[in-house]
Amino acid sequence: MSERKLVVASIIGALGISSAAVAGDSPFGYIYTTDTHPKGKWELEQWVTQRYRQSTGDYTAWQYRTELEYGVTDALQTSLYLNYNSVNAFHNKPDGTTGPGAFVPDAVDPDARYKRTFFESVSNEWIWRVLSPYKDPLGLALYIEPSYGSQKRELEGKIILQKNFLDDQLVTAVNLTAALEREKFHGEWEKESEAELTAGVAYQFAPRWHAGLEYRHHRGYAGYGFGDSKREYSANFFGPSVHYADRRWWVTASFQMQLRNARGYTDEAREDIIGGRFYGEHHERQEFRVRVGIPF
Amino acid sequence: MNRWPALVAAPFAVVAPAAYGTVYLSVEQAQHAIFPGAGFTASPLSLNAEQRNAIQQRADVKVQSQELKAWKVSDGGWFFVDQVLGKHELITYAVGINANGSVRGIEILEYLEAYGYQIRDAAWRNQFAGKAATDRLKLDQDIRNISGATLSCRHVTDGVKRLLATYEIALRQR
Repeated sequence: MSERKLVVASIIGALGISSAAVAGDSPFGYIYTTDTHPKGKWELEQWVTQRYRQSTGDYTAWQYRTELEYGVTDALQTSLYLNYNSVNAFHNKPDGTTGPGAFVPDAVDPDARYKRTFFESVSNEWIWRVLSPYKDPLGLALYIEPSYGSQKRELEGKIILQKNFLDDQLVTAVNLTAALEREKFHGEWEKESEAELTAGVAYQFAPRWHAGLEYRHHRGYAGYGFGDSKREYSANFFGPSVHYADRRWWVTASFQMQLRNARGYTDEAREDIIGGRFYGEHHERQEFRVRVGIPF
Repeated sequence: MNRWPALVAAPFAVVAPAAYGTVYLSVEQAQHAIFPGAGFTASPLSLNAEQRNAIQQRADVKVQSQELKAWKVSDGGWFFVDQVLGKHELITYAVGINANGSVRGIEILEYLEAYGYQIRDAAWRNQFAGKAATDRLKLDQDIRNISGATLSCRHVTDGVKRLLATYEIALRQR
């Protein structure tokens, strides 16, 4: 069986014997809601994110996350992730060379195409729902996720807020995210911090279907800490999402375009801003994400 | 050869969960479960704009459809079949209302989601018996929630509240 047929057969096979509708799915690709998986229930998810185009040349990165999710209690959910990536870059740097950064190592032939697929890290996510948007005036959940890999380690935390309207047909959510990272670059461990504000609205326009919009404001800092003196860059993303779920499975597709209002606070960061968009530190022109979940 | 696409899809091939989603009762079965031995006359209801606004205001719940499946019961009560939205699918349920405007009982006819089916439990449904349009009908107050089924509990509770208001505004005088 060819590789393509194996992929299709696996997905069809899984969907054909798959289970009932979900509790912890989100109508957004990038934003978490306060819904958690019921106690004792499992879910398998696959995330695929395509990060596409830098300022010049060819650049495509694929980020994959395979997630196993479990409801510890009705309000506490944990997940284990396997994170792996692939990159295909050619003359992607502003000076027209194939250059380091964004999964491309230092010792790369500046005139050659670089391709690589590699395992990055494992992550363990915990989400605790404090307030429910279905009973309380506002939904509130707390999130923490450590990640560990040979080249990258991270500790990420989120505050997740959700408010529904129109008998829960209109879902609005806001995430406040802070992350401390250590990434091996130029042979040395480099510390950096990231902060992100994401906000979205999704409307259930028919049973099983949501359509929405997502916005992301992303900031990067040198070292650990979020003070103005450490600030390096900020970038903004915006785009639509669509979500389908029935009793057997769910899928969310989300497209994000980087807006032309990035800001650089260091000389290095300013050099990576072309046409108003920031192309350093794993930032591309656009992203497309698909998440598929099957509960069991 | 790039094996990563196959590895991405492979985990899904080993997942073999059970199927959920069931029709539990027919309309006739629900009628006789709530009003045993009674006769039923189909009397579908079509709400006008004024009634719709009054119901929404009284129940503080949106009226999604102006058409309502209703039956007049031989003992003076009324029997309704209605739908509310669960997380992704519609929940079909029935409510019997006594001639004095209080709830006789509720039944879940069809539930298509995997989670939250505990709302079929008699102990949860029996909470509505005797409730009237003047009652609060609010989760964690006079209606006990089911952890892990909050959304279904909330929407069915809102549906019962709406139907009680519908009876008071559109049917009590008939």
